[in-house]
Amino acid sequence: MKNNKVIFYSLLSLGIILLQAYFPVIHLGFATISIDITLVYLSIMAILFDRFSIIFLGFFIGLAQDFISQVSLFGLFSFIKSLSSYLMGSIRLHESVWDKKIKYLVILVTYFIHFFLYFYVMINNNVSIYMILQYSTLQTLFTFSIFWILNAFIFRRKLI
Amino acid sequence: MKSNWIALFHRDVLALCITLLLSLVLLFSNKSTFIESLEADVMDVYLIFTSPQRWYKDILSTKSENSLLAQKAIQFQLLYSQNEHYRVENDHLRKMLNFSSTTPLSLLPTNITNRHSVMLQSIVIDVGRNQDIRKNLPVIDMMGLMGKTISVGENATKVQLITDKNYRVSIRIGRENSLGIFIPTHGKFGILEGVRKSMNLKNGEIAYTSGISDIYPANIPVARVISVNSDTDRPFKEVTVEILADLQNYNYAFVVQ
Repeated sequence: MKNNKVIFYSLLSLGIILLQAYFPVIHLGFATISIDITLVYLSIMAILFDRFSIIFLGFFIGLAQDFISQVSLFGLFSFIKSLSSYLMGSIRLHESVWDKKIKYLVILVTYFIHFFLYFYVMINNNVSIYMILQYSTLQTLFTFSIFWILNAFIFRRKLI
Repeated sequence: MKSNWIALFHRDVLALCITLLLSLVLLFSNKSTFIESLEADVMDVYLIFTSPQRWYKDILSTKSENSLLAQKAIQFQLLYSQNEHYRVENDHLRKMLNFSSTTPLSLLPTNITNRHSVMLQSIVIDVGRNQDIRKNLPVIDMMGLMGKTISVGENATKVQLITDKNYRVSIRIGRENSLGIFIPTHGKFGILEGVRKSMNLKNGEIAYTSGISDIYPANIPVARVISVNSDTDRPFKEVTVEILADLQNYNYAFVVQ
């Protein structure tokens, strides 16, 4: 039974990584927004399962993303995905203590930290911090809206 | 209850520390041969999984691309005949000056397989060692330089995009063929470093590869100047450029062999 679960979630994670490869990007004037489906998936998993497993799941999903999309900063995604998993995992730990707003806030802040770290490491040499903040905020809002839509319409607000 | 919670907290912190440490090890050892060969294997597997994407994209885009390519073909035909005329004239002049003729570029067309991945700093193309692809070959599209091959599998190759943080390419620009270095900044923008203040540079001028490096042959278009600022304390101009290669709607690329 447990083995079946492991196989199911491994296949699901693989499917999400593939979905990420197939997911369209949004061209918004100066910026190109690509919604991080794997981060949304990690958020859902972090709410449903315990933090210990989610940290490792985040690490392996990040590693897969590194293999596909990184060259000189190989390991960056696994780093920020592990960190994000840890932060989002605290929602389940405080399930009965935190109300809806705080849980949403934790996810929003985690998304922002995730994208800020990414863009800070990726482009901090040559652009102002204002530009990094702009990129991070846009990515955060778009990715969070996907999470919100999934929570509202697919999970019928059962996640948060 | 409280001690239970603390134990859980410590277990999670330990897991976090392990994964962060592993990530940092990867981050600081990404040039190791083990990582490179692992990357090449992953590229081959990734190519198999994304084959449906290439299939439907090819079907959907064939018609529109066909008409676009027909247009481009006519334009290039005109350009070709003009260049052919220049080449003949150039050959003649080279012979007169006893110059050795330069080798023309050999281009291998490829499909791009991961065009819609998140926050791309690399792309995967569907050619590899079986097609004589090696590491550090330039990759271009019809507009200009896209990047260089970085890890090569049997049938797939990862290409470091020109937008990657650590990407650098030596360029020549302007009438004086002044040397500089192209450095990407964000999105499709970049800067040119080392362009002398005394040099006369205007918006719209194109930076070409200099041919100094072992990787890039000379005269591949790289970027177009969009702003020039000479009012700095530094001895060089601040030149902002826009990458010429179309990094938003790419489907095909050419590997320069």
